[in-house]
Amino acid sequence: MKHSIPNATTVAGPYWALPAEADEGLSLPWCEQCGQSAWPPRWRCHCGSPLSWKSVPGAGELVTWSVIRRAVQPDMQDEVPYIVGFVRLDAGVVLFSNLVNVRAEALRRGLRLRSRRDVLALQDGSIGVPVFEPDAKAGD
Amino acid sequence: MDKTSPVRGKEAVIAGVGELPQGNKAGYSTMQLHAELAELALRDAGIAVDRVDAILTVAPRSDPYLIHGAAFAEFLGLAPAVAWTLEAGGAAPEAMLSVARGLINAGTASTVLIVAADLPSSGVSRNNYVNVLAESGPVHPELEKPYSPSVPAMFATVARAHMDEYGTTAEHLAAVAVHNRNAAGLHPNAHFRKPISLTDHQESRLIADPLRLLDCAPVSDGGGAVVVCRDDALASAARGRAVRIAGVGFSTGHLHLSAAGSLTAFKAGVALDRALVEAGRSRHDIGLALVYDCYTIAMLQNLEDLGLVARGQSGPAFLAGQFAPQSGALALNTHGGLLSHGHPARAGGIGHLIEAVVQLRCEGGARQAAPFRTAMVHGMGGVFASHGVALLELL
Repeated sequence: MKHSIPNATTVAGPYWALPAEADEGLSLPWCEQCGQSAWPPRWRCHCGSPLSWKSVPGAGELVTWSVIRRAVQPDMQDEVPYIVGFVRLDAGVVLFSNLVNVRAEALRRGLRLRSRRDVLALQDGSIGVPVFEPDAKAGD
Repeated sequence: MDKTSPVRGKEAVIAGVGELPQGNKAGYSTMQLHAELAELALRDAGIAVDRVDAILTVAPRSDPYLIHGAAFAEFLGLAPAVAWTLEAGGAAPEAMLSVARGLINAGTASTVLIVAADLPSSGVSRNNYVNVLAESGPVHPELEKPYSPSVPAMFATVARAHMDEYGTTAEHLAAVAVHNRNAAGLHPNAHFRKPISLTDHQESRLIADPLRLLDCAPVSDGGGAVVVCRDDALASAARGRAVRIAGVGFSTGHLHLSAAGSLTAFKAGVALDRALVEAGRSRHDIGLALVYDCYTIAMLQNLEDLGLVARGQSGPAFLAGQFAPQSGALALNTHGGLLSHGHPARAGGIGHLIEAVVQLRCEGGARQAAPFRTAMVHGMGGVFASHGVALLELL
């Protein structure tokens, strides 16, 4: 689906970067001290340690969602209805994203999801916007 | 005695309020609206405009000044010590009240004029307003905006989570909309006064599932003004109508919903706890609650986060009519709230503060609540992000 271009030069550059391998997962801030991810990106982990970017599996489950019937952005009006929601990654953090390749009626709390990338071609290269779809292998 | 406590007789009090009908104010300029509201509040307080030595405003969407408060002082022909513009989202009324009290207690100012007003309906183009909401509203510009959420959709995710967690239904949301519309029907300044039914709500169009049009506050031109001064500066006629600031408290959990630790519990109650400690009151002392209700789900979620209703019980309570006027229980958003009294963009929530003062003075007319001692005003910035609570009582 369509996305506006994130400003990928500020707090979350690696999150939007297109991975070398399609199934490489997601790049998230990581604390070596606590052994866990932090989201959204912040200056330091809550324990005070520095954070570095690390690839984690893009697997998780649906927390909550909304089906947008009226888009705010005029160029999104031809995409309605589309779905936004929060996904709790198995890696621990909760991400905001779009849910794709799924009917609104099939959505429920706890639905197993996996990340995929919507590739946006920019003038100076491509970025991969992480979105989520049902995980067929989860036997839902 | 705590050295920060004001000396009795030199306490900062609310001396006057001013409000005009909310809704479409085509033909007004934003400055003219500010000036008219200021005159109303100063007249109500019995205070001449040249006594004002501090001005506090919020930045209207419809005016671009570097320091809006200073531009407004300029427009009034005043050169006050302080002319500032605060940014606290929908918690700005409580923030301004707290700053006003601090200025007075510190001796920096003696008479503070607070004005919060905006013309989102007629003062800016609809597209411009919507773009500003998407660009600088509660949506994170880097982490959330690429997924094209609307503001209603962010609140809708909280509504969906509340439904999953507590069994809240669309009918519960409808009952909130009906409650507020019934209240607004008794308020001459309310934007929407025509009665609605549960069915009207259910038949209104879906905006961001599960939220429908009648779950969302309207875009209203309007706002209000409040005058704060030292009680020993009050004219004797104004003393009986002055309102004391018994306690104020704030809390900030996040700015963007992506950074909230939970999607089913937020920090409004922490702000209320802090205000109650200062006031030496408990939740049972609150007889009137003005709760930030930019969406129906905000009313339910905030009531529960504030600890005024048990988790999951607010929807059923509305549907059972527990907050109906004269029901004897807690009086709630007696002016119709943001949902029906109106939501004047950046000035959202000033109507809550004004309603508390009107009700404490027993000047609510047909919508006057049963006698009570303490009014609670709650404001919220962002999506359940920043909270301000003021506890008010008659002087």
